[in-house]
Amino acid sequence: MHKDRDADLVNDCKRGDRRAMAQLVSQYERPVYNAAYRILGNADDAADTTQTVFLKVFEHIGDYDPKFRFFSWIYRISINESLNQVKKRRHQEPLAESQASPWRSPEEHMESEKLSDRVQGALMELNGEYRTVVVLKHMSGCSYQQISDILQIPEKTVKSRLYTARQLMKKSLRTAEF
Amino acid sequence: MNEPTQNDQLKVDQHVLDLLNGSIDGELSTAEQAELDDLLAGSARVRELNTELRALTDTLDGVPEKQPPEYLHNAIISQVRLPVAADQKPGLISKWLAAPWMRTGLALAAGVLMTVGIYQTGSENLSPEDAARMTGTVLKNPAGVLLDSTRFQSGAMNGNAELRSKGGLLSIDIHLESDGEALFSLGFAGQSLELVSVNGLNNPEVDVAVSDDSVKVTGSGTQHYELLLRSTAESAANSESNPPGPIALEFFADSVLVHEAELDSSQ
Repeated sequence: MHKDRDADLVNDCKRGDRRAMAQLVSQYERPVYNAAYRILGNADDAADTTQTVFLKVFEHIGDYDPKFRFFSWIYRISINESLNQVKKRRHQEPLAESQASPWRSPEEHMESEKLSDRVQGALMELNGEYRTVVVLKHMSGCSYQQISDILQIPEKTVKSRLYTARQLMKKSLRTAEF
Repeated sequence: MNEPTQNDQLKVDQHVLDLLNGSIDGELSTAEQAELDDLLAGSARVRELNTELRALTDTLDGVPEKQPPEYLHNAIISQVRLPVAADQKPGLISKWLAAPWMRTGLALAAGVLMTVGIYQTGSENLSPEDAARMTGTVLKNPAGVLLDSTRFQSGAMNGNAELRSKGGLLSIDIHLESDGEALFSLGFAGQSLELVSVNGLNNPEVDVAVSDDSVKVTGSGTQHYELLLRSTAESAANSESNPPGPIALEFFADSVLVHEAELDSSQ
């Protein structure tokens, strides 16, 4: 989000500065983890994916093109890595019920947790393309332009996917007594 | 004029939905917003759709953030390998020492030295307590058992501290990243504890000040060190019946307190 500051930190990382690396991790750990969590619907997978994302980011830090925002680059890697995990998971054994349906929470959950779980349930019913735009727009707070940069698709496609995804989520949440 | 077909009606609905979505996201032009305002004023159905869509987006925007697990930050930091700066690239001797055949040779040599060391230590008259402590410290669980931890991020300093029970001692593992001067203060007044050692200080600019009931470590940049404390209670039984209370930690960045915590050692 802070283009110049991020660019400085990236340059310091390219020179082997671990303090700059730690600052970038501190800055982006939470957004990367949250995006992964919302796409994967599982805390353990989100943590594993977040680690993988940062390892890839710093492994390829020398390839990063400063013409683009670091924010867009790390989000793109996060989304791609999360969607790859979703694909891999499809080919593996079915998840336990508690993982496959995290929104079916026990009654004693706090109200915010219930909301979070219910929305997560509706998100998990969307396909990867729709889920990604909803996560980037509503959980990561990205604009149409930023989503377009991250996913490398036209803004028109962002809008179209987002609007359709919202309609689908509305139906899904209504079904779940939203 | 032709009557509107069902398809035309669908197109109109989609156009209205596009306007409603665009309005909620603040992405409409002035003309588009004016068109939507007219539609809202003239149609109860459009107003209903607008209310539903706003409720949905408010719900989505209100989903609370998830807190990443405590271990994640350090797990990432510890695994990342950065490119080595040109002025820090290893010289010929470092490359030679890093060669696989040399690493194998050094490992074998270290094994021989360790065996000799253990033999020599074992030949001394150790008490059973000393032997038990050595086993606990060196072999049984070198990482110790995590009792409590704290972590913080401020503009000037980030860090974490982990309190562990380790071979009969208390270990406090400190990781700090700071731009300016970082002061870490550990207080254990009235806790029947004393400092055994501060390990891992490889930065000569770090300053350690020790008193009977506190330790202060001052440094800057990336710091990682471990403080070992032991109980001064008269006997182990006494120590167990009166375990040390909370251990107070304070972190200052350029003399400004940025984080304080109490770690519980009684678990």
